[in-house]
Amino acid sequence: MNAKPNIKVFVCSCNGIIENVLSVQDLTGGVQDAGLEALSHPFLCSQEGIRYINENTDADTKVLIAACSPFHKQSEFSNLRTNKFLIHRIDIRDQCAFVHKNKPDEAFKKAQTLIKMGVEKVRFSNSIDQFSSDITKTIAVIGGGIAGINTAIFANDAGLKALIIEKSPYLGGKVKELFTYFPRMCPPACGLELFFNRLRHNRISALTLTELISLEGNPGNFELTYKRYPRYIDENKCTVCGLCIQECPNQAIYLPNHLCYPSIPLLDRQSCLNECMRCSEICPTNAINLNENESFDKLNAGAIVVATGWDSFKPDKLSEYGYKVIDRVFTNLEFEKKIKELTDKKTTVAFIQCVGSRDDKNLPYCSDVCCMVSIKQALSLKTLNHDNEVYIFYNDIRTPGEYELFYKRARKEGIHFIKGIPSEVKETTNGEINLSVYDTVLNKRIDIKADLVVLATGMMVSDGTLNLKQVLDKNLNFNENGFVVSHLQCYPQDSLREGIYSAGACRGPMDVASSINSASSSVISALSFINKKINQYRDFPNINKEKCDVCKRCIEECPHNAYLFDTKGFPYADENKCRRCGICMGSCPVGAISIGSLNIEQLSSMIDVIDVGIFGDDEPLVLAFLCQNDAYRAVDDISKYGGNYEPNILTIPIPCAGAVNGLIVAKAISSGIDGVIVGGCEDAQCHFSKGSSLAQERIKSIRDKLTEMFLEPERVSFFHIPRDGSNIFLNQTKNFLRVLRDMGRNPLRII
Amino acid sequence: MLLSPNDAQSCLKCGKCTSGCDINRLDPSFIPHRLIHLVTMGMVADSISEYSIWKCSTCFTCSERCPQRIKVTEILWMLKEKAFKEGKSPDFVSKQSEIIKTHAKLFPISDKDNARRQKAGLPVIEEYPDGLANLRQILGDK
Amino acid sequence: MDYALYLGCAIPIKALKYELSARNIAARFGINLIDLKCFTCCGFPVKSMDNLAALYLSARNLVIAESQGLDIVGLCSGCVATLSEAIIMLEDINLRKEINGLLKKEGIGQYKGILKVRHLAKILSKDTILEQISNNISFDLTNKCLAIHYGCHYLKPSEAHGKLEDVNRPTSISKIVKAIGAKEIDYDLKSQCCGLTMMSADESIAYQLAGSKLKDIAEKGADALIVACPSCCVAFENNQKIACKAVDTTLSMPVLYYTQLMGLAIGMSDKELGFEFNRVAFKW
Repeated sequence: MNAKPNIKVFVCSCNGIIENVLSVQDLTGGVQDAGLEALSHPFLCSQEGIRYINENTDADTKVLIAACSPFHKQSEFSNLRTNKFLIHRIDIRDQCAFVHKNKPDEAFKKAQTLIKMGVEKVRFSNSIDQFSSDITKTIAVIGGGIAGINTAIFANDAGLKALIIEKSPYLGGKVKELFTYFPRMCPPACGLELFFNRLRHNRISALTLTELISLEGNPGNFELTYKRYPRYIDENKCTVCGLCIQECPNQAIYLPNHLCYPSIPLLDRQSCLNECMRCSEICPTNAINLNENESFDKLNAGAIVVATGWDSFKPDKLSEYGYKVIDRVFTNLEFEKKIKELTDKKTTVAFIQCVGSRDDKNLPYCSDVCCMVSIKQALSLKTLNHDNEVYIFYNDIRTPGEYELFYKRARKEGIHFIKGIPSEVKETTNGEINLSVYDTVLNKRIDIKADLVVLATGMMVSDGTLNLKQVLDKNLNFNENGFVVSHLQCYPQDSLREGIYSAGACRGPMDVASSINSASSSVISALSFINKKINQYRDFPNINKEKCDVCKRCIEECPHNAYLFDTKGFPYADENKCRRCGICMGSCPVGAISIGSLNIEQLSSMIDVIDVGIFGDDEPLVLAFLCQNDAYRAVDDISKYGGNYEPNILTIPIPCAGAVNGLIVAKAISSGIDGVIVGGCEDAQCHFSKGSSLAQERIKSIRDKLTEMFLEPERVSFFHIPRDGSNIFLNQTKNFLRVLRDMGRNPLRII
Repeated sequence: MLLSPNDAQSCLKCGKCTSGCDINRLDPSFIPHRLIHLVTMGMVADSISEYSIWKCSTCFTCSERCPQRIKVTEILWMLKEKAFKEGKSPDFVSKQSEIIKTHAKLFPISDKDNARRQKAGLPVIEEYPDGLANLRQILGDK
Repeated sequence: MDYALYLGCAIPIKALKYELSARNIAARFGINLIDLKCFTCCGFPVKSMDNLAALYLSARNLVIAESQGLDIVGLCSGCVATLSEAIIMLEDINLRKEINGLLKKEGIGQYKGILKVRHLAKILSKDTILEQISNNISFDLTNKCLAIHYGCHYLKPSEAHGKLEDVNRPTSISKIVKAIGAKEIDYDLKSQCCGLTMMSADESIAYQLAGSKLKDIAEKGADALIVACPSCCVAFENNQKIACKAVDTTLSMPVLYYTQLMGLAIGMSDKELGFEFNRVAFKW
């Protein structure tokens, strides 16, 4: 016999509420009969209860708490002295005493079984320490548009070091091309100048003409390799005296606009023809080096914010609109420039909305900003000359929130909003532009002649994002439209990778206000990541190298791309990339992987101690592995609504449905358990992106194996149970039990 | 699959089909987006009793330019088919149907036509009425 | 190059000049047209009666060509569009199964989906052929202003036609006009339909469509209208008088097929090009 294990079981009577249904004394008695120490307390989550546990345990005691749901009173139970990985809580209240109160005998048997299983869970648990790692307290921002600039500023304000990598010669992105911002109609120069000054004053470095080439290292300590294209003018030496601009015989040196950051001239080497070297000779600070070559360098960052922006949809494909054929047809972005050239001469301008947007073969989505952009441009035209005729051909005008007031202002200004989309922009043989549209409100065709046509084209994935896709490969997920994927409603700033965040229109169409908003949220996430990462538990997956046959399944199925090979060729999970979902544990065909909070030995031993005939020889017994994010919580809720279900179902919370290994399911069936349920989120709602769908694939292959073994495949089922799916669980388990009863008991059950 | 009324369901009601319609320009009673809207509302019966469905010239401009890629021309064919099968089509359709069922061609070739062809130096075209059982069966012998 | 020639219903009766000139010009450029035996209607008019029957008709013509191992060349744009669309529709496995069931009853083989359908104009407008034409001009047409009516089904559905040219700015027939040395004129109603397909439903609209187009090209100084489809030719030539009346004008606008135009330029005889069948006389 081994020495008596250091396991203690604490049973709570919850101020008599549990006691009303179950005899706590009998429960502790049962444990003591098995040779273990069991204690009861009327109110374990009280200060006194916690003290009671702490008095009776030390740091190495394995503690099983039989009380309410493990998701209640978490903060109270976090005050125990025992290492948190040695503590396990099982629910004899919400999922036992409450829901089975009409069947106290069965409830007692269930509670007893749950405690036996819980003892096995703690028996095979191991203490896990914390460790500290050095984190580079730098945020690298990819992209120097309005989102990237603001990310860098916010990060700097939050006490981090920030730097910007920008591919083009200057910061400011698309915004510096704009005529005005909506809704206040101020020139973007005003805002940009402010931001540029903050970059300058805070000495935030911005690497322009720089492109990310590769990403190595891990979250917390990324190593970025970048390429710098030659600038020919040294930023630090140039004083913008303007001599070179005046003297260049080819006009190859110039300031593209008055708001350049860095504020030095652009030297266009392509236009620099005769190699006269005049500029470099006359530069008073020797800032010009015409022989500069591209160079490569590296930098370190703890976190990365992707802010690669957007590109304007090119409407050439919709050839009916004459873009690039008729010289008076512009995209909305081009019109921002054109509008600056317009005089107060009376002009008729037609805007066509949704060009290429909400179009299955082009941009299937609404581009969010085009309605406001057209209204803004239309108002500018009215400001230029109130007699200008402006038509906006639309299908739906989308001006959410207070933007609606802006739309109203436009209507009051006499801008014609016509519901109906022209089929083509036609240039007649005498050079006029004709638009013929069926006004779906008037029920009448309207023909207008326009001087200029603006195609309200949408925002699409940028070349920068597409390039980044090559560089970051699996480190970032992109959706079918090319935008950076996030968990949109809960964590819009998070990518699916630790340490990498996104801001601005690389996430999808958004206006300037939303971009700046997104910049701050990305910084908050990056900051909390960097802080959290300083101290963390060593609870990432552990691979049993004696069992591992290097099949690489874990590497393929890990949704966070956390797996790498160690020096001996075995897979290992990078602690910083790993999110402890356990999907690798579920994937391993030989059951070699365990995570800190759950291991295969625990699950296996928990199944071993189940007395399958506990509710009678012909009563089915079901084991339900439930995702602790949604499914398990939904089952917890049943008691709150006074619901009940049959006690034959033993639930086990798991980090993700994808963590359930087929070997465990097979073991349950071969031990005579009549049915196994795996409950997970709706596929699209899975917190770990593909855990739920992987679980379903695995269930399918287990079912195939059962069929081969002449067992009923229906004994193993996957249920979609969303967070609010209490009723789904009730209905599905009712059916499941009926099917099992019709089937008769598991032929592998030994009576 | 042949088209069904469901294939019109994603219509945005933008009216681009009607804007570009040569027929609508001359005859305001023919409004393609209105017909598509009737179909999406489940009002196929109303749409097939409109004579205007027969005015479509099948130029495909609407199908070509629809942002939701609805095959407007083809949906109208589907409506015409339903109208025909319910006996609601104009006379010329039944006449054409009879000719095609008999000759498998819209313009059957006569001996006189063949004589004219031969005179011009063109080969004789044979009538091919065999194997039309299928067609008769599908079109239904009226 | 061998092709199965699919004439369709209209051409053998209503477009002898097209058929003659097409056969002769094709032969001149080594395009061997083998008549498709036992052809029937392409299915186009049947679409208003029964879409499955229409597809069946398309399929049986395709199958006959397939069994001869040939791609189809068509002269009528409507037929070419309908047969090409059928090829796309028959990519659907269930539909193909259903149609093959019907074809089995007829006993003419099964549709395999290995052939292509092309309009003759698309073959004749290839650069190699146009180069030969330009090098062999024997009839001067440089002072002629020609308006082209491409026609709807010649271009659309673009998917069926393999998206070979921009449907809003087509170039294939323009290239032919350029090669023979004539001048193509631009006109406003270029993309407007000839109206013939809806003639039975509403004559007045159909005549207005054809008439307004004729009027437009006349105003822009066209010497002739070039067409590529027998239906369009009927609308503009056979019906010219009444169509012009519908738009309050009288015209005598010659209508030529592109095949006649090509033949004319390289000195083929009037008989070879079927000019005797042109209803609007012209003396060039």
